[in-house]
Parts: sequence; C-alpha cells; structure tokens
Amino acid sequence: MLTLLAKLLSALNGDSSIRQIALAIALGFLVGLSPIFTLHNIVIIFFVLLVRVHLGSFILAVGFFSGVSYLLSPYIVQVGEFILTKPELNDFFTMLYQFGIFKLAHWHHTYVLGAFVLGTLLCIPVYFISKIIIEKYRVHIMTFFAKFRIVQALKASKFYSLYNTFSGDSSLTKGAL
Amino acid sequence: MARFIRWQGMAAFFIISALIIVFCYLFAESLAKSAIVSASESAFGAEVNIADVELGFSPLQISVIGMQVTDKEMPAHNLFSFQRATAGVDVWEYLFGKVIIDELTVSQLALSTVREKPGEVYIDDETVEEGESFSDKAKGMLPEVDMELPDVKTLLNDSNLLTVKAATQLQESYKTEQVKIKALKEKLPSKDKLKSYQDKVKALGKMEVKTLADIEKIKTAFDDIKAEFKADQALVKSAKQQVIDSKNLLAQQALDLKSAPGKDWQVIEDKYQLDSLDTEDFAHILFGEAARGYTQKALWAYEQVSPFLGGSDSEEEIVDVKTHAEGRFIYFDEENPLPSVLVKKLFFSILSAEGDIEVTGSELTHQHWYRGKNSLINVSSVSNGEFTLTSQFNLTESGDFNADGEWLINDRTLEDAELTSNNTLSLTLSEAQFDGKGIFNFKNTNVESMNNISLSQASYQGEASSKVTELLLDTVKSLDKLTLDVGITGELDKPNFSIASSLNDALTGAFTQQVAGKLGEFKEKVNKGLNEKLASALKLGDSQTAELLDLEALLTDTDKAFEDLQNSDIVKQQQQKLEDKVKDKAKDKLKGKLGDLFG
Repeated sequence: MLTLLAKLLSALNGDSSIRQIALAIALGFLVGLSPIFTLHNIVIIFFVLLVRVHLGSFILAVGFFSGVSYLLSPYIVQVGEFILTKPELNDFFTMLYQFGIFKLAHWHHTYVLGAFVLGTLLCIPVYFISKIIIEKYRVHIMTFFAKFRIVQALKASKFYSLYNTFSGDSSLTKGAL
Repeated sequence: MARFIRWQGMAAFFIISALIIVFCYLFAESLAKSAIVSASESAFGAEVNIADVELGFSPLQISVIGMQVTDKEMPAHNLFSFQRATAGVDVWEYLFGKVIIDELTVSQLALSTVREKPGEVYIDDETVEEGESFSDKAKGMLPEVDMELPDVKTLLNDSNLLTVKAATQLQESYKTEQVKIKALKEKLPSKDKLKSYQDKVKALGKMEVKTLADIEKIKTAFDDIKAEFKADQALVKSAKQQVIDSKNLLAQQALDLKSAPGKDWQVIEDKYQLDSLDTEDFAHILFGEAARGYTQKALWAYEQVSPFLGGSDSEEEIVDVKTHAEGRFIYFDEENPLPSVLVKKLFFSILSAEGDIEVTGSELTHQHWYRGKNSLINVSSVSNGEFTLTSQFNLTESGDFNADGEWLINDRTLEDAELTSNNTLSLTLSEAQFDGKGIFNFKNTNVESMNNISLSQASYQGEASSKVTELLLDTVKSLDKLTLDVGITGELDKPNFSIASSLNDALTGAFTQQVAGKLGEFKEKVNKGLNEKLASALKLGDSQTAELLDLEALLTDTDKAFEDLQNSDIVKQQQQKLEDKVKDKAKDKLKGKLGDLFG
C-alpha cells in the first residue's frame, strides 16, 4: 500500500504524463464503482494492462472508489432499478436479455447496471477533473506544500526513501509498472 | 503504436487470470466451506460445523459433508444435521444470476441430535412468548372445573354483582326520595287549615242574602278564600307529582333489582366458563394440545419460508435507501423462462425417533408462474406402520400462496405419548395402534383441514386428584378404541379447532350428571344468596312504598278537596236563593193583589 502511494506521488511529482494518470483514475473510478468480478470490469482491466496508463494510480483509484461505491450503493441501486424497470425501456432490455452476453455481464442486475451507467457517464468528468487537479498540483500545490516543516520531516522518513526509489526511475513514461 | 500499447500488459492479464483460476481451483472448496459456514451462522444465529465441501466442475456439483447446525434454543443439540448434501448446479444459468439445481440430495438428515460439545450462539432470540401458550391454557382448564369454582360467600360479597349494585341503588333512592317527601310534607297545608277553608266556604253558603250587594260581598269573600288556598293547592299538586315520580323511580329500580340475580348468574357462568363445561371440552383438553402443536409447527415452517416467498411485487420494494444495498436481478421475458431459484428434484432421507422418513420433491421454487408447475412434496415412511403425506403448493405472481395435500397413517404403534399433565390430571397413552387420515388446504395463512384419527388397542396410565378428573381418567381407561375428528379452520396463528370424539359419548352420561349436579348445587347456593340480597332490599322498600301510597292517597284527597272548594258554586247558590226570595216575594205580592181583586 505504501509502495502504491509512493508510486502515485512519484507519478504526480514526476514527469509522467498527466493524461495517463487521469485516465488511470477515471478507469479506476469505472471499475471501482461496480462489483469487481463483472464482465465489463474484466474487459476494462484488460484494457488498462494493455494501454499505457499509470497502474499504481489505477489500483489506488479502484480501492478508493470501491469504498465510495459501498457508501453510495443505495443510490447506485436506485439508478439501476430506475433504468431496468422503466416501462419505456422494457422492450429494449427484453431484446438485450435474449443475448447471453447481456446476462453474463449481469447488466440485468440493478447494482451492476447502475454502477456501469453512472461510471460510464461520470468517468469523463472524472478524467478531466483529475487532469486539472494534477496540473494544479504540479504547478502550485507541490511548491506550496514543500515549504512546510512536516513535509521536510517526511522527506527524512522511510516513506520518502521509497518515494525516491520510484521517482529516481520514473518508469511510467517507459511503460513499465 | 508502442507509445500507447504495452504488449507485456496482455501477458500480465493472462498470467493474472490464470493465477486467479488456479487459485479458485485449488481453494474453491475451502472458500465455499467458509462461505457456507458464514452464511449459515448468520442465518441460524448459532455455530455451524461442516466437515468438508467437495466441488465437481464438470458438471458443477457441490457436496456439503457432515453439516451440523446448532440449535440456538438448546446449544447442546443440533437444529438439524446431515451426513451429505449434494446439489448439481447449472453453471450457465448460475453465471446468468439464477440458481437452477437439477438434483438436491440430502442424506441422513436428523433433527435435534445431541452435539459432541455445545455450540456457540451468536444471536439472542428476542422473540418472547407472548401470553399463555395453548398448552398452558389447556392445562389450566382442568383445575378450573374442579378447584376453581368460586367460593359462594366471596362471590356474593363481590361489590360488582348487579344484585348488590341494584339493591344499594334502590336503598339510596329510598333515602333520597324520603328526604324529598319529608320536606314536601312539612310544607303541605294541615287538615285543620283545609277544614278552615271548608268552614269559611260553608259559612259563606249560610249567609243571609237580601240584596245584590250581599251577593257581591259573598263573591268577593269567596275570591279571597280561593286566592288564599291557591298556593296550598299548588303545593299539593307538586307534592303529588313528586310522589308519582318517586314511586315510578323506585318501581323501576325494584324491577331492575328483581332481574339482577338472573343477570349476575349469567356473568358468573361466562366468567367461570360454566356454560361451556361439557364433554367436548375434555376432548379439547386431552387432544387439542397435540393438534395445536402440529399447527404451531406448520406456522413455524411457514414463518421460516415466508420471507422467501415474496411474489414479483414484493421484490420491487427493495429499492428503499439503506446504508448498504446489494441490488437485485430484474428478469425479462424470454423464450424458456426460469425462476431465479429452482430445485428440479429433491431427495431427503430423514432419521427420526419414529423411524426413517423419505422426502421427495420436485419443482421447488418461489416463482411458479414461470414454468406453470406446482411444487410437489411427498413424505413417506414404512418404519413403523405406513405413513404418507403428499402435498403440492404454488405461489402466484401477486404473492398468493396456495397449498393442499393429504396424509395417511396406517397401523402405527404409539408408545408413551403424554396427553396431558397438570395438577389434577396426568394422562399418558402407554400403547396404541394409530390410524388416521386427513386433508389440508392453505390459502396464504388461512388453513382448512379435516382429520380423522383412530386409536385402537389403547392402554393409558395416569393419575387424577379430583372427582371430576378421576371420572374422566376412568372413562378414558375403559375405552379400547377412541376416535377423533379434528377440524382446523382459520388463520394459522390462531386457528379454530373442532374436536369431536367418541370420548364424548362415553362421558356423556356419567360425567354430565356429575358436573351437572355439582354445578346445580353451586347455582342453587349462589342464587339463594342473590335472592336473599334481593329480598332484604325489597323488604326495606315495602314499608316505604306503602308510606308513599298512603301519602299519594292523602294528597289525592286533599287535591280533590281543593278542587271541590275551587269549583264550589256558593255564589250561584246564593244568587239562586236571592232570585227565589225575590220571586216568592213577587208571588206573595201578586197573590195579595189578586185576592183583593177577586176576593
């Protein structure tokens, strides 16, 4: 966990592409919102591994947004319930239901569909918001926080040496983990 | 392209996937075991032990071996345990979110077996038995017959008795009315006063009338007298009205008092259930407990199953916002629809004290409308005589539960079955041959059942400590064959029982006579006491009623006297007298003149 956090901070502070980190967070949001072992999540994880996005950020985002998903589960279920039980969409879902892949993806489950729809709709704003925050962080926040004594004290800690290990070899740009 | 794609990631994906599959394959049984133990402990609220779980992957089959579920009420016992349960699951449907079990087999299922060591209990059962159980009530009924007939003296001193209340009210009314009348009496004109009025009027009648001025004088005097006695006359009238009111009130209250003993007896009969004290109640007492036990078992089973029996409508209610929601599957129309949970075939072998029981079932689900087939359950045993039970049930889409079935028992030997045990009577069926059959029908929680039971070659043991229970015990012991017709109707949680028994015929003569004599004696004593209270209250009233009647007569006479005085034509009489005098005078004058003329 500490290593993952160090990787994230290293990526934020280093020269890793902002887009890679923001995309990792957005995809982590999409995966974290749904129950982990769903068909669409497996596809997204495959995509994340295949495409050069920051894996540390992705894993942390999945962990964080899984917690958020747990807290928001009643609302996610309500969204899924609303969509799946809407009479106007009944024919559409009945048609989809005839396909095994639809049932296999559990998109006829209120939580899974609610999470997938919310995740898909919100992952785009999450991507852009993450991008802006990382940019701001690199320009202003990082320099602002560096002045604090506590930060200087942290720099002397084991965590910082770990951080240095990763920042010294900013592997993200090279496509490795 | 290489700038965006990392090909080694694909390898990582497949390696991770393979690792997960291998992990699942290696640890699936342990994971399944932990999951089943955890879910069962959560469901049953007590320790659950599973010896092993075996998984077969083609076709997917799960076997649970040596499962024991602690009874949270009696932790030293198992609620149930079985040697092996095997379920073949349709993997494809499972991945689609449905649990379709082709065959579920549970072997050597046993209820209430003793555990090697007591199991832990995780949830306190908060359901407190509300009120008396039927068993307690049934046991409480017998002593009432013999011991709890109320003490006559205590009963008669009960201030709630209508007779006591009516007598007290009557006495109080007597007192109140007496005070009122006494006050009136003091205001009434005396006899002397009345006589003085009469004398005055009489004197006016005797006055010498010579001129019209005298008549006018008499009239004025008469008017003065009338004005004088008018106030007294009003007093007499109001006193008369008061006496009539008092008389009516007391008459009504006396009437109420007279009818009170009858009403009191009715209340006593109801309170102590003396009216329902017939032989049929003894059939209830002896056998109703057992019948109620079976319906309570049925209710328990229904309550356990009912949360899972929601129709399609009830499922939609899960939308409520909770701290954590898990969602649900929504099923749409398809060519071959399947319920979300279905056990196509079921086979249970149950070990019980009465012998081995086999349960087979088919189409077990809570969504019968998908396949249009009823769930079937067959229970049979041949260990001790023949026992069969066949039942079918279904749930409609709107959530209505319908079930019917029949049962049959032939030539079953019963031993040491306790029928009742309380302070005045304990009765155990030592041995008997049991035959019976019945039908039942459920519509939601509404039950309708008719059962015929026959006990032959029966021998009983028991003790009785009162005359009534001794008679009952002797009669039961003398019966070689006993038949019972038990009807059950109404809501499952409060069913109505009708129990007709050959015991009734056997008891009718002796018992009814005994009870009737005892009750007759009691009734006589109570009624005698009530009538004494009635008589003393009415006796007290007799003198006062007589006094009222005397007073009424007196007032009527006085009133009449005043009326006579008021209506007296004394002035007319005097006028008439004057007219007669004038006429006589004129006649005399005319006679004198005519005598002179013709004389």
